[in-house]
Amino acid sequence: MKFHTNTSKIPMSLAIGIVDIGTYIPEKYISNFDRADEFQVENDFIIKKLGVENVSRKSPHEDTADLAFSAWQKIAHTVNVEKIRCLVVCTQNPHGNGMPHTSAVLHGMIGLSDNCACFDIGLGCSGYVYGLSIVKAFMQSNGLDSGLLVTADPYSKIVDPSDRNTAMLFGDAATVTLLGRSSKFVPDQFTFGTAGSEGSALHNDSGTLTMNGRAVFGFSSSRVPEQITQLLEESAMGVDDVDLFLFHQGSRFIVEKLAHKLKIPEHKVPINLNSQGNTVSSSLPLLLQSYLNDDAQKTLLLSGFGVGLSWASCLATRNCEN
Amino acid sequence: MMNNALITISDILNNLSPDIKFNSETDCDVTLADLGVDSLDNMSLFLEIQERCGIGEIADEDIDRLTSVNLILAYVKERLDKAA
Repeated sequence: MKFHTNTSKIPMSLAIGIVDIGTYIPEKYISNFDRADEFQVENDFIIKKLGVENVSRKSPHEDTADLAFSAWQKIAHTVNVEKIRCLVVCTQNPHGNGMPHTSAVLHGMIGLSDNCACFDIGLGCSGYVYGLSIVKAFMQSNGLDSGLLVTADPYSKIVDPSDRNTAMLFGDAATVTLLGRSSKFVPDQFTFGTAGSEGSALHNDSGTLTMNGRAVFGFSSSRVPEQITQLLEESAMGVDDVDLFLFHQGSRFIVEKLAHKLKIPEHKVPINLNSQGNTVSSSLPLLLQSYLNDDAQKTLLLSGFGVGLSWASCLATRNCEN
Repeated sequence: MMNNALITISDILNNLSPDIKFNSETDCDVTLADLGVDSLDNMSLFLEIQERCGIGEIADEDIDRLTSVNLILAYVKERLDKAA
């Protein structure tokens, strides 16, 4: 099923878009090379297939909202806190025991105003694209000028350190995206998909992350290209019309497979998970941040896919009026 | 028909990774692991076999025992015969 929220008739200067992104990757990490013997993998496999040399790990004293707050601090100096009217946190590993909601905890930590709406959304790797659509629509619907979309999903809380399927892959990170009208990119043409009957492929089993790699790979390499092909067709665009395809950084292997299937030139498909791993809903904003001020990148396609199973894609067009 | 399957599997294997060089005349009984097929290549290999050989989903248990091209060919033949 798909839904489109085409706001192309709204002038760029008035459309809600991405103003800035703050990111935080904990300094602590585990080297996959150090565990290669234990997990019986070659260094070549780590470099060429996983594409993850280190997985970032939060400190024991850091919880979900703390990671998000560290990301917030990277952009705090540019933001008028009084003007923030909504804060949405995307996580499936919430702060503390999940009550109160992580967004409310973060609201208190930042010191946002009492008339700021706060809520969490429970999505995994598709969460950033969903979140952009939700926050954009929420702000437009309620006449809000400034909002925050946070991704903070520390999988180290649920990864079994002895499970090579997940321990070598997932890293901790958090991001804060400032949305408003003086934006750099305006996201649009959202499309969503869900295969709930296949959800057991990637789930939390009594506190431990369980992943059927084959099932997740099969899903990702079939549904995602279908969705992107359809999105481009419906937008009357081809691969050549998109400057960069920003894929969820699941692994180097899946990103390269998607590029191959969609016949996208390698230089249009950046990969950046080497130093921190797959950071779930944070992977797309971590990647996008690198291109916010690169004026050569006018049209981006973002695609997130994973837990659910769920997948979501959108276009993001540079706002040349700002 | 099986010759076609061998050509297809050979093509898939030789496009999986630059490190994999499969020779259909000499390597059909060599284990996939010895050919350099790692766990991620293995996922990609069987997904493409499903798609290109038109045999539907291959169960994980079957994949685990299909460790050489000859074993895969026999499996594909069995599936195609059952479907005929």
